[in-house]
Amino acid sequence: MLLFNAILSFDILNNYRYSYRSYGQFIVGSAMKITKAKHLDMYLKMVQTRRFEEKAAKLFVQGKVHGTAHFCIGEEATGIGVCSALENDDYILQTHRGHNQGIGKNMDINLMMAEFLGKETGYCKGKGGCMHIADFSKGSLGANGIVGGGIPLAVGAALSQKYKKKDNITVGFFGDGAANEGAFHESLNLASVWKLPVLFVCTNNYYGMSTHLSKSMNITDISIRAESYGIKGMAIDGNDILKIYEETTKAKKYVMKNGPMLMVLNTYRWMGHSKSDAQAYRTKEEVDEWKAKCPIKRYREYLLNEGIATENTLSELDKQAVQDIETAVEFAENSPEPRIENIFEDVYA
Amino acid sequence: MAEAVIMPKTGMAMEEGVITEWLVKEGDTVSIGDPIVEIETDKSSMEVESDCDGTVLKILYKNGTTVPVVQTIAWIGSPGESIPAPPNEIKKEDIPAKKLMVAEKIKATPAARRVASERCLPLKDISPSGRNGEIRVADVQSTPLARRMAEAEGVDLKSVEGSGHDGKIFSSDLNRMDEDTRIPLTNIQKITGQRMLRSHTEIPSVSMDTRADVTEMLKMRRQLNENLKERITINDFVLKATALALEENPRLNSILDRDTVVIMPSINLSIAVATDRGLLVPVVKEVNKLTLRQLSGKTAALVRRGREGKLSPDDMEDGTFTVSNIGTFGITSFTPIINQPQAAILGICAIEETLKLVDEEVQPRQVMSLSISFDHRIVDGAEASVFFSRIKELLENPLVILA
Amino acid sequence: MREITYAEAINEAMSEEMRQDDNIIFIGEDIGVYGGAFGVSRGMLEEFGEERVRDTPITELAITGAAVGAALTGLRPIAELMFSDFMTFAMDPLVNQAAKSRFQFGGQASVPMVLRTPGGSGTGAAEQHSQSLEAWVCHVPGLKVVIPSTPYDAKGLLKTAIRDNNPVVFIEQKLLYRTKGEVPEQGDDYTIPLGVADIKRAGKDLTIVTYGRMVQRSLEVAEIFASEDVDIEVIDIRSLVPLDKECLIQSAKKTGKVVIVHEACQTGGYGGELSSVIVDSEAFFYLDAPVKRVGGLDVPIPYNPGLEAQVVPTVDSISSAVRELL
Repeated sequence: MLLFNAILSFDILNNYRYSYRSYGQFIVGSAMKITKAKHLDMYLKMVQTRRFEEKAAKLFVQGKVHGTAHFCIGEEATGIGVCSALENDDYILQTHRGHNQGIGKNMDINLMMAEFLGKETGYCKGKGGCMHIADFSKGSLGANGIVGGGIPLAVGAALSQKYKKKDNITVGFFGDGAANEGAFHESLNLASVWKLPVLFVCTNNYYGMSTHLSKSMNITDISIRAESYGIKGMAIDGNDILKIYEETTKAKKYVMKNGPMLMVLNTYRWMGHSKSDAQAYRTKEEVDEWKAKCPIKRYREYLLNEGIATENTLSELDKQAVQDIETAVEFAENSPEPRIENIFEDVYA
Repeated sequence: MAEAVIMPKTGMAMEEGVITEWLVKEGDTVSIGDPIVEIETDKSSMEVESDCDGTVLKILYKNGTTVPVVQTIAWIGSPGESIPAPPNEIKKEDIPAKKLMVAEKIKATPAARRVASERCLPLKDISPSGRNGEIRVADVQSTPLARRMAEAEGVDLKSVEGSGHDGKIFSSDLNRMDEDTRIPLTNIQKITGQRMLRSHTEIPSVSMDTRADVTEMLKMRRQLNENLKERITINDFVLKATALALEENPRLNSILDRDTVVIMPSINLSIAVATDRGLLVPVVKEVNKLTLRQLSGKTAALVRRGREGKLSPDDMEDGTFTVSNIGTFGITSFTPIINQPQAAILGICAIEETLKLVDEEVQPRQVMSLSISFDHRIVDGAEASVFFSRIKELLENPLVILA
Repeated sequence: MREITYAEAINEAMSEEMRQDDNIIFIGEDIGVYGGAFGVSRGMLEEFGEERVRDTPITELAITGAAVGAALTGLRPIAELMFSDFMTFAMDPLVNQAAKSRFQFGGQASVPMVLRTPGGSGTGAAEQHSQSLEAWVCHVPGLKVVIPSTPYDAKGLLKTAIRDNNPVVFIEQKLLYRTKGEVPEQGDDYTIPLGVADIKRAGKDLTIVTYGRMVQRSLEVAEIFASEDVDIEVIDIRSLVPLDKECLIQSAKKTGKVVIVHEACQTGGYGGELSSVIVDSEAFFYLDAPVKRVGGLDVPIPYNPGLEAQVVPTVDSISSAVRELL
């Protein structure tokens, strides 16, 4: 227990500095029993996410993905790690960038890709696009294009779960930028006084679009804000998938008994905020430093070093991920466009 | 196969980008990830990296060019590979200029317009009582005097039977009838009367009569009607003959503008139609350009609309020459009054069976009487005669009418 | 039938529905212990308990957002905003979330919530507590908007709103809370469908189209003109979205003269929409006068009671408009 706390405070101390020292290894070893199948599932999902994002980025500059698109390359561990620790009936509210969250929640990549291309077969019949994918059957109550828009919804979903005495929680994802929205504060407050089973997960990638954390808040450790609401807060390495998985598993049990909690995952996004971002606000060196801490690379090394998987197995999964994305693109490209005749569908129930 | 390098679409609203500077030239070798060109978008500058390994085969646009997004700007491949031809530019479609609509200038409420139209009452002759000078529906339904009198006498107008067309109520309808039967003129009668007076007093009008042997024409008409579904009338034949004669004698298809004779570009025939509302004169446009069948269809439609009270203002305007048919009443000659500001008016009179000498034989022939009145300021007797006799000629040689 | 107040009618609607459906919960500021700022929810905490009748902090954004989240996941929440002026805080959850979810997610979701909130002036609450902002929410596809004018209408419409699977903004009128009206006996589970207007007074010479607090005022005007032998038809639209267009069109056709009355500021007010609906229809050809609007003056609601009363349509200002058309 003491060791655990020491590690926690070590994490918090580190967060005060905005240039990160690289971690060589995962701090927490296999304190949790994770099956090989689970490991491979998480690994595959991370690689699928990365390939998915790369492909989507390519399709975007080809004009096939319409509008704007936000990519989570570099942040894969956050969404996959958290969602792998959840059940189907746990709800998530995704962010505009959170394609990893969706994939982590077992969403269908084909339907995601079709939605990105605006096709009728997409999750939202082509009407939502990349920022608004959802799969209610898998517990995803939708991605939100409004920064912080999903946080109050997470409170409401958790209210449902508590009211109906379910053994489930809701995870509300948001980024560091959203932590300054009124919605964040109102939601943490309301959830805390009503002791609702909601896990607030902040993916801190240090930039709200182009504005660095240090310019947006005086205390850059977002996890400390939890104290103002009398709830538990923690900050962990957002590129350490196992750490995230373990902490989420513990958090779920905690939240179901004690009410809300705030978990901050410190990570980095490799690409610009969106595709039109020329990234004048950060240096190439900073980006490269974080790229060296690639969560997929680290996990891969871990799995090989611990003998959990062989190079062969992982290569097969790598290839499968590429294939899965190609299949999705083919499905999406061959799908029909939605028709204007149906435009009034679903405005009202 | 050579790979295309495209102008990337990096933002939602981006439509085009500027090639700031090429970082490679044709013939250079590149690898994946090498920056090859610097572009400028509406938001920022950025480098575009190569997606593949190969040689720069062709650069399509030079530095400083603005290129639409997704368009190919260069080709990378193996040396000597062929590259596709550049795509055609997509032209913007011309947006046709919208025609301007000129609004009706008389102030009247929509309800008033509707009722006036139903009763074929021209708005310019209705006195408005609206506080903004607009004609209201009640103005079309009864006169202001009638309304004031009704109010003073405490009479409910809805119980009074109007003597005007379609029940328009006049003050006289409120009075008892004395020894003389006093029937005030209806609006249409008043208007028609005023116009007739003006035409009669202003125009030095001369009338002429002639007779045309229409036996062949009637035979032809019977033949046509047996074989067509349209019913071509005698009037239609005369209209077509008139139009042809007007084509050849354009001065008869004109108006007098002070000292200038203005010859009208189209031949639009006003045809007089008797209805239970009174005499209406709708117009068939461009008769010279219609075939007999087309003309027949149009005249039938106008007559029908006139009888149903559904003529539109467009139906009533732009006539250049009038044809009036009173032949069915057995009239053999009359002096029609010219429909100002036209140059002349043709009257069709009765067809009588007459005995004539044809090829030294006495034969019964159908002979139609025709009368014409013309404005002697515009045409003289000789010109009018040429025109008039041409009509007779055409009616006697009806094949020409069909040609 | 018995007489109850507008506030009691709303209380009854909520309570009756909550007795029948366990999925309905009610959240808002001071609705529980206090019984509601206007006393509307008196007794409900005692009957339904803290789990179902929840007092919240002062947190309009989270109240509305939580209602959306709960509605997305199987509950049928009623959320109350103490004054409709505070809708400003609730705009993102209401407009960007509640109204959009079903469409945006391709039909996967529905948001069966009711946002109840009182609007209107007359209590001296001044600029920030007296507005009529219905036009804002009428302009958001995905939302429905209802404004009742009588206890009978309030109860029947609120029940329908609660049973509707869409987000409904139910704007009550604070000055009407104490007014009384006839309502069927308890146990009569009557409902009034949305999208149906009510002809509160039939007539043939002129039509007044109105809603909310102005309905009663328009009926007063109609009585005045009745003694002058002018027979005015007063239509209470009740439901702004969906709107009973046919009723308006037929009435305009019948009388040929229309005056639209609402308390909300004239410019950009819902009256513009009502006018257009009438003018852009077959009724146009039967209009014998321009369609007139009598809306509130384009000013914030002032504090002084004399001024406050004059910045909204009065019996005099409505009568003037009527006279202009006759």
